[in-house]
Amino acid sequence: MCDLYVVKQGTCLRKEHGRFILNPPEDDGLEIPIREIERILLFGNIQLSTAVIGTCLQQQIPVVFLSRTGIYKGHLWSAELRDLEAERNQFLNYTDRTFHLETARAIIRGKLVNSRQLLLRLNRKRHLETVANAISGIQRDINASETAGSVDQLRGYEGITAARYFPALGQLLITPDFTFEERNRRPPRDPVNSLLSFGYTLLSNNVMSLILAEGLNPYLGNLHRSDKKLPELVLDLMEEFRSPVVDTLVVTLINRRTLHPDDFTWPTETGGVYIADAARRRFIHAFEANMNQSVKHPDVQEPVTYRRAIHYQVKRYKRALLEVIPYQPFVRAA
Amino acid sequence: MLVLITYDIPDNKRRTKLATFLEGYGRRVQKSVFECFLTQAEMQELHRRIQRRVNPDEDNVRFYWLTPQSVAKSLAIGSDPPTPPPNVYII
Repeated sequence: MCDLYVVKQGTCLRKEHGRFILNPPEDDGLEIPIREIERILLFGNIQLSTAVIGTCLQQQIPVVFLSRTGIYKGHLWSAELRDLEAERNQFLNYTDRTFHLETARAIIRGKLVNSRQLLLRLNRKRHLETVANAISGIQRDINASETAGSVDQLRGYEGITAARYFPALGQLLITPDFTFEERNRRPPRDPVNSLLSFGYTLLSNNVMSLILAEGLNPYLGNLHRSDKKLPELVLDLMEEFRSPVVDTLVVTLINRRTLHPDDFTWPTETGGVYIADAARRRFIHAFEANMNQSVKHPDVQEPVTYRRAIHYQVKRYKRALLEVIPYQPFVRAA
Repeated sequence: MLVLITYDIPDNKRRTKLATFLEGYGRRVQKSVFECFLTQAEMQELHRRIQRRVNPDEDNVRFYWLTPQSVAKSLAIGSDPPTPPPNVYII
């Protein structure tokens, strides 16, 4: 089972018997047996036939629609897999203050510990003092978050850690071609920020489809709450994986010089910088390789892929709802 | 695991139907040979479904179960040796 990314603009996707047929303009077509496909991600202007849409709904293959630069537009998903019992508990717990606070606390702990872990790993041979200071600062934030009395306070610690973490990460880029001082988005204003944004989008798509596959409602979260209809649970459950999956990848690709400054577009009118199409493909390849990397997860003996690890976390969240077992975050080994 | 499916079906209509059916399961590597990467349960399910599509008196379909070690040792002339489907397709 695998993901199908369609990046080439103007590609037509249709169905013939048990296969999807892809016809990119100017290129040779490609035929893929439908049962090999687990999820489809469409970037920009891609055509789908009604037969493809019908099959995806029937076979529970999520189709995610993204802009050409990777901004999420929506998804196609059959609602039949809903787990109403779990969803009812999501609504019940939405107003439960203890559940709200303790789950948000666990998510923050996972996020902060994993951010610290990445800095530790990257600084092991470099011994930069500024990074060591950030690491001990984050440890203080982790300790402080254990006694925070409200979700707002937790978000405060999250912000403080981010202000320590991202500049430290920028220090650990070893090529002079890329600099990175602070996180900015909507639009990302430099290459490193554009890679982080694109990586987080790819990660959130994975989290979203695993949440949907477990029958949960992605719009009810804990750490993230909004008056707008945002996929709060997706934002919640991806926090622990931002640093081990995406940040690690971005630093590695830059430090190994897999990506170069000319792999990015000129700033747009609003100052946005994006990866050019050819490099985008390389990035997706590397992202997928990272998602298939093995990692230890406490719920199973054998090492599993990151994608499985995310799935186990979604299951843990479901257990927290149904069996009142507090949610435990995923923590990457040091 | 790689399942190699080969068939001999004299009736044109039945043969064409089986071939289009099998194209949803794997790759056609010769006129009447398919390579499908399946789990054992999927192979048994496919076996059952093909049973309903052929006439055992006239037709002959064979399923070979090949371990990853055997696939790695496979050789080919005039085409690529068998390779499992990729982890990701990027078009």
